[in-house]
Amino acid sequence: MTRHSRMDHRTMLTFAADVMAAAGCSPAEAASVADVLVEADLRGLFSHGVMRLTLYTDWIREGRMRPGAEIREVVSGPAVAVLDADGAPGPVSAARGVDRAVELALAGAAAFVFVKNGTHFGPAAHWALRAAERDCIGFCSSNGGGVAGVLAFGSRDVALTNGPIAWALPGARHPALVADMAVGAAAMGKVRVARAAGASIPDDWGVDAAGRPTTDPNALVDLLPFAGPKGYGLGIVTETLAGILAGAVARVNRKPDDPQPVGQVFGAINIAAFRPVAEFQADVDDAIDRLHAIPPAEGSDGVLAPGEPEWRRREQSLADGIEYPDGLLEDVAVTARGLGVAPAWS
Amino acid sequence: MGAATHTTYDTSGPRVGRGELEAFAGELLETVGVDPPGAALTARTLVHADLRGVHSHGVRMLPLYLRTLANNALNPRPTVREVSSGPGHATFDGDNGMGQVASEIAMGRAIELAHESGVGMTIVDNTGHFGAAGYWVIMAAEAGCMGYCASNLRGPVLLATGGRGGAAGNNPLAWAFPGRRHRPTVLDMATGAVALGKIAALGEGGFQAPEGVAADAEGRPTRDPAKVAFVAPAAGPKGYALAVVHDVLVGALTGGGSALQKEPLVLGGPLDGGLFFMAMDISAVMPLADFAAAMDAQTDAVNDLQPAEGVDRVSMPGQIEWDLYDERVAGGIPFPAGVLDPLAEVAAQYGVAAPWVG
Repeated sequence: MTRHSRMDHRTMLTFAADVMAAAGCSPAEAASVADVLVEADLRGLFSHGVMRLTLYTDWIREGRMRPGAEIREVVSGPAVAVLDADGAPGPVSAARGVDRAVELALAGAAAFVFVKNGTHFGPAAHWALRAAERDCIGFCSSNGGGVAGVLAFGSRDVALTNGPIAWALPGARHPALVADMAVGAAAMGKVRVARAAGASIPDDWGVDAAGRPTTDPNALVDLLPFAGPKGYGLGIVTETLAGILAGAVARVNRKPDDPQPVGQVFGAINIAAFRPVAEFQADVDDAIDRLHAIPPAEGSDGVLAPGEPEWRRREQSLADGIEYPDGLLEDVAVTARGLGVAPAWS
Repeated sequence: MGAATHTTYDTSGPRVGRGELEAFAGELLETVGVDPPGAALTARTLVHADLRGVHSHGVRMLPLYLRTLANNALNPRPTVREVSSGPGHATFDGDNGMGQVASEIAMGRAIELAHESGVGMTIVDNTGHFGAAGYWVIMAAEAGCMGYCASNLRGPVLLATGGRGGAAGNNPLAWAFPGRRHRPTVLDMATGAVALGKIAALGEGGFQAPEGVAADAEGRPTRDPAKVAFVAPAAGPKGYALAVVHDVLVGALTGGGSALQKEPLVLGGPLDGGLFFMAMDISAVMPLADFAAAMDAQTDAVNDLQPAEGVDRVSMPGQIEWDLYDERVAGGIPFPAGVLDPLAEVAAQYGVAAPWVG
């Protein structure tokens, strides 16, 4: 196994953009995708980073992701819009969705933009943060993908996709407060890590083919919702906002072999409609200071604000390079070579 | 969480009719100086929670409301004032009155704004407890809107992930969506693993708190209800993130601060609450009939899923509560044993006869 630790993020940006361009994206599309994937890697969210290049380029070849697709606004209102992404690369339509939501919010108070026929868009937090950078509270959800479904609470059957739901609140001295969670008890990425390591998993992550809770990551077929009825309830909110309202179908109404229509929702709240932005940000900063002042639990290095572990990781990765786990880039290297792009690390 | 369990409802206490309970609660509130419309509204929202089986937010709250009013820590006759407004938004001052009074005005305004421009958002500073969050989002769903709301109060009782102290209130988040054949889908959840009130109730019954859901004043895990000072966030970092983000969202928008930034909570003292309401007119996105049909289809499909052992039917969020509501509107509310005793005592002190006594 080759070790590819410590890659400079600029090198990875160029590499990811080259791969997407070789697969048929315009320079602007390629740069947009590269930015999201490398941002995910900078934050340590490798399951949503450049390793996705393999999946993305496969989708382009299969026609499920369509470079150059025209994104059309099919519903327009003063505080609501619906975009039809027609299979455009997820990060491209997501950026359009957030920017439209921010534009509508800044002209009023709160706005939602729904994107239909979307594709995978990277970490949900990325899009909530894009709104937070423009003096808004950002919100985002997707009825997303993944092979594993999430069971309904009180059932042996799947009712949900393991979709994300995210919020971001801007501070000034401190980076934004971020909540970004999937509705399942664990990410499939963590299950894959356990499989690779031959480790067992907690029995409240998911169930086997017979619907029984399992500690064997290889036997896990579907996930349980986090905190029972709470994760399940948020999952129904996600299926409704990003599924039904985004012109897709709720997971529970989908036939098992239906191609996955991905819907997304982007929300923005114009802070200035309620409070001067600087005062809002100062309160967010002060709240974070107070979280830091909470005495640490035994074995803890201190209390961090929601989202802060990823911010710290990002700072470190920017300074020292992105430290990729062993073997993570091997599939991507194969993908790149297949498209005539030399991996940046070989 | 492997074996799914649903709340079992203790119904061994007195059975009280909706109308007589609303009249009683309203009369009691008027006795301590609440104006008749405010008393009737508060009574209606509390009884609505009892009808839906959410007794933690039902008339059981009245002794605390009355104590807070008696302490002059809650204004019985608030003038809720619109402080500012603009396209799609409004900000209110709750005049430290009952949260229900401010909430009806503020969610009402959010719905009106949503019908004008698609999305309406309102916030309230300086208010008391608003009852069950679900009531306010149901109000939006019944007007053809998606409803979303959150609130905060004094008292950071939710334990920080990685810490020995409180990070946020154990506040509710709620969403609702309209159906047509089916009643609105309602998610009304606290961000903590359990409510402090439920642990106290376990203690009163001589039981221990479940493992891993509570901590003492030093932030150490405890199962002794008498020592419990903090609740753990639901699902650890997920509940922690949901709680902090919504507590700060409400506090930084209203200027009233999050629980960590407010004065400490004293039981029976002012709550210094902040509220946030959002309504989105479904018809601004798609025809309401199409949306309602899709929600109904989602509900039907969920109801058709195979139940886990010991579960009668797989339900949508809020659906079990609606079943109870229908039963109880028709046949009265069977209360859990003991829940109404403190209320009957307080009512007797004010010379108001409890309909279930004698």
